Amino acid sequence: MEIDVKHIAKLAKLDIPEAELGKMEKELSSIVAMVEKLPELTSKESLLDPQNTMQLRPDEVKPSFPREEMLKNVPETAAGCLMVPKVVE
Amino acid sequence: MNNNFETVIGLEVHAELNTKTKIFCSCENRFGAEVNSLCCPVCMGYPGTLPVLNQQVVESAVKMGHALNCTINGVTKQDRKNYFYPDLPKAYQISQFDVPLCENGYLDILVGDETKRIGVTRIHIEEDAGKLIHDDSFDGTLCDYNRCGVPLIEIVSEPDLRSAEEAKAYLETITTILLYLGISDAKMQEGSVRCDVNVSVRPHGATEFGTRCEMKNVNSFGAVYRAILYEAERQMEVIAAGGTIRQETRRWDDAKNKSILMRSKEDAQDYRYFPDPDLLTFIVSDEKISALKASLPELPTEKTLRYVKDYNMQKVDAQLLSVSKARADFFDSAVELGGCEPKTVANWLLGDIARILNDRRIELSDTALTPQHLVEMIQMIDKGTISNTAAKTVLEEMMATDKAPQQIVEEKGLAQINDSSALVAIVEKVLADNPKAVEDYKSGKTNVAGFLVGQCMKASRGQGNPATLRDMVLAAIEKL
Ligand SMILES: [Zn+2]
Repeated sequence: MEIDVKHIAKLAKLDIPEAELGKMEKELSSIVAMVEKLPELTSKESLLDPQNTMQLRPDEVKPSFPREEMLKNVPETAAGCLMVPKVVE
Repeated sequence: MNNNFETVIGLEVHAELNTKTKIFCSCENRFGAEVNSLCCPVCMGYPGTLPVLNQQVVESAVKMGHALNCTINGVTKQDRKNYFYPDLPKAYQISQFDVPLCENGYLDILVGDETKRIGVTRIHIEEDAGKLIHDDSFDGTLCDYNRCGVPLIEIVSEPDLRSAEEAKAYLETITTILLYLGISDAKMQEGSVRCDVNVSVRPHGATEFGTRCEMKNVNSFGAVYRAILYEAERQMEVIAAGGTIRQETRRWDDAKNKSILMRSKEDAQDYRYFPDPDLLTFIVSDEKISALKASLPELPTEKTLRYVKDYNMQKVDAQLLSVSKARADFFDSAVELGGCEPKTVANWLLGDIARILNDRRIELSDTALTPQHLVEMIQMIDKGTISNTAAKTVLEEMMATDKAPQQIVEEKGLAQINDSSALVAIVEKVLADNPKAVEDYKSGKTNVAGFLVGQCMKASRGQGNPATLRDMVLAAIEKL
């Protein structure tokens, strides 16, 4: 199986040095080869698990977190917001 | 517009649901709050938190599925859609990929005199992203995550729409249904309904679709209309010049009235969907699905067609009534009370009442008017107790207070005067005051009679019987 390490790195926003691409491809190939040995999933229904389902939550409001708490871990803030490097749409 | 081509359109409509809480946490779902004041570790995507699906989101989406005649998948799941953008703190959006909650439906829309059936591919539930604030007075981009986790339904149509008019009618019908079901505020101007538009063109008679372009950021009914006209024209020009259409995503700029290339197919996003391991399969029972179906109100298109059929109404009037649920409900209650013509009720609702509401920028529910009072007023006109002119005064009063029309007529002395002896003086004065009009009438311009009768009505403060007055005016002129 051929692995496009460059493409995957781009999607994952990872910088991988040119020199390591070959090694990475080898390693990823062996991982994929291992996963491919798992029993084949035959239909989309098989990704559903009706025997093991979740309970839904009633639509009742609970207090949100104080903003100062929420922003404590944020590297940079301004005007009550998180601030990230400028993005253009 | 090039007549050798037809335009093929599909719409993806995102509607925010008006549940009390967000889709995966108990933070309040509310528009317009102070930035980042409706957030918690779940909706801000902190590591180690677990989303718990809101039951009401599922019920609202199933209702919409029924309204659009979909098959409901009672056993379904949620998937992660991966992309990097700072409006999405988790770097993935929880959505649905291969098993949407609702699929294979349709919607009948009215375009001119035609009813057209538009296929609905699917409706799935997902979470909204946050809002980015781009402001030059800051060194970076600001993120407000109040909207993160607001529940959305995405309604995907088949490429069955063939003109900007059809697309607009489809979108208007969808928003009206959302309001009928009470599951969304459906305000395009506040962004609670947003739309992506897929457009392609092909020669008339072709069986294959042309290459399509997707336009993002089309955020009003008018913008949808303009964006489709622009994009179809652009594609036809490219083809006419011997070029080929490339599949791409474009941004619609409504102010500049043009679309701008965002990315081509080569750069198309690879979302790497996979089932969300934090969320298990969930089930909506057959009983629940049936109960939700039974709870649906009569929907706008059915209502319009019923009004046309049962009350012999013009389609355009029937549509004006049913486009507002409050107005249609009011009309239905009045008609049910009986004792007057449904068409007369419609005329009042779409005429004087609509004009007053429009002038004052208020809703029907902001007034004291009840179906009962409107019907009683119409009956008083039918019996000749009040004139149409006096009724307008009665209507204003009924909208302002909860007095019955009978009481208003008595208090204001608005009862119609049918007795000609009481009107003689008025007619004489009006004719004396308007010698020119009388002259005109005599020289053959008989349509000035209407003006003279109007003057008499005015002088009687709306109380004269117009038919009686007309006879009297004509008789009096003859005698002059
Ligand atoms: Zn939250």
